[in-house]
Amino acid sequence: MACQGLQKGETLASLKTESDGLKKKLEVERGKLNDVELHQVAEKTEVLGALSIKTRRVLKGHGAKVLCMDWCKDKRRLVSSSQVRTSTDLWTREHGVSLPCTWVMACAYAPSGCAVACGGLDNKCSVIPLSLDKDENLAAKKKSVAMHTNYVSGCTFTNSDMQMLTSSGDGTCALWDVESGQLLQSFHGHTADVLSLDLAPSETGNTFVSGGCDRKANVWDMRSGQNIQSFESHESDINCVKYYPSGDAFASASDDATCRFYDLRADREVAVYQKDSIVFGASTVDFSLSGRLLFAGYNDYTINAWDVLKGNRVSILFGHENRVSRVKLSPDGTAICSASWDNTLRIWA
Amino acid sequence: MSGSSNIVTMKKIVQQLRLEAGINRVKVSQAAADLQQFCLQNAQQDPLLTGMSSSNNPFRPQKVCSFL
Repeated sequence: MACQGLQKGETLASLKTESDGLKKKLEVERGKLNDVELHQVAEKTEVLGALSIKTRRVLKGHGAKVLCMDWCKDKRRLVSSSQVRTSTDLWTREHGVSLPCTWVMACAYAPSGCAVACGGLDNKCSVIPLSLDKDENLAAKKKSVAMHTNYVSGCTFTNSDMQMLTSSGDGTCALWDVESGQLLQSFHGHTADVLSLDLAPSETGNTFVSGGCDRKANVWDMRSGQNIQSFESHESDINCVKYYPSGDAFASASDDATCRFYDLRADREVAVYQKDSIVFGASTVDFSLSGRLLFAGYNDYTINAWDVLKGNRVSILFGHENRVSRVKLSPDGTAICSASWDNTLRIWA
Repeated sequence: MSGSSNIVTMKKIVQQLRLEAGINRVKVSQAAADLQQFCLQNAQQDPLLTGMSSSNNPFRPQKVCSFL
């Protein structure tokens, strides 16, 4: 077997020594710049008042645990998926259109609003065009795009309906051409299931972040497939990753009952959102429009709203009767939608 | 032979670490100041933060006034 790029004299032992040395160097370099904590910088910022956020809608209709949801850019429609089916819900009318997709763990609206992607235990991610015609045979129009060798845990369209990014239990992420189903780029580096991914806000270029069961969060260059940065500070699986609205940072939710905040330019963790009283895993996070609030859904059925800068919890949103599997901000920032194993979705505003 | 594939894996790890060790970083004080500035600049446009009034928020119920 060809060992490419091996320099003369390099052995497994010498590489191991170099690897250990480099890891230490990374720690030292990152440490040098850690001159202050985020919450210290934020000390002079005004404390946030109590939030007046409450449940405004409860969307019923799924007969099973709701695992995923996504907003349409029109701010009115959502797509949500459960173990049994995927449906688009018009929240104003609270009725859904059922889509032919089962065992769905991930779903996403296309930027145009004209199609939905869904994937899960079938190891695939498929795209279904939406139709106003109720009699339309959507099953016939469903098209497989992504093919992984294990379950699909996350999917998102890139800036258009033409390309899709997926994350998988097979340890990889991949970029696909929707029309042809062609694999455009694959991303290798995680050493266990990848559970979540998020695309950087468009102004900041072609990168995305992924998190997984290897406790690592990796930032990738979409074009080259290169892993540009890696963060390993969680003590258990990372269930969800989400970019801060400016694109310079991202947050993660983990089974270790904490959420963490990583700054990309400082290349390190800059905050941990935790409390002794919070002992259940966090499954999902999303930021408010300004990035000041971080909403996190937990396995203890609650959603906590954290002050991102100061690090304290601002509010607890009660209402769900089982684990919260997903929280997502509406496109205009006026509401949060949460999906739960209690078979419902809630809109909070 | 497992020996050579271990070396290949190790080589990849070392190359990745070299890349990561070499990136430019800024001080946390600078990064934190920028994060804070972004929050404050956009605070007024954040409906969940400011608690926008019922009349503007499509998700909050409209108060209906009726003549008695």
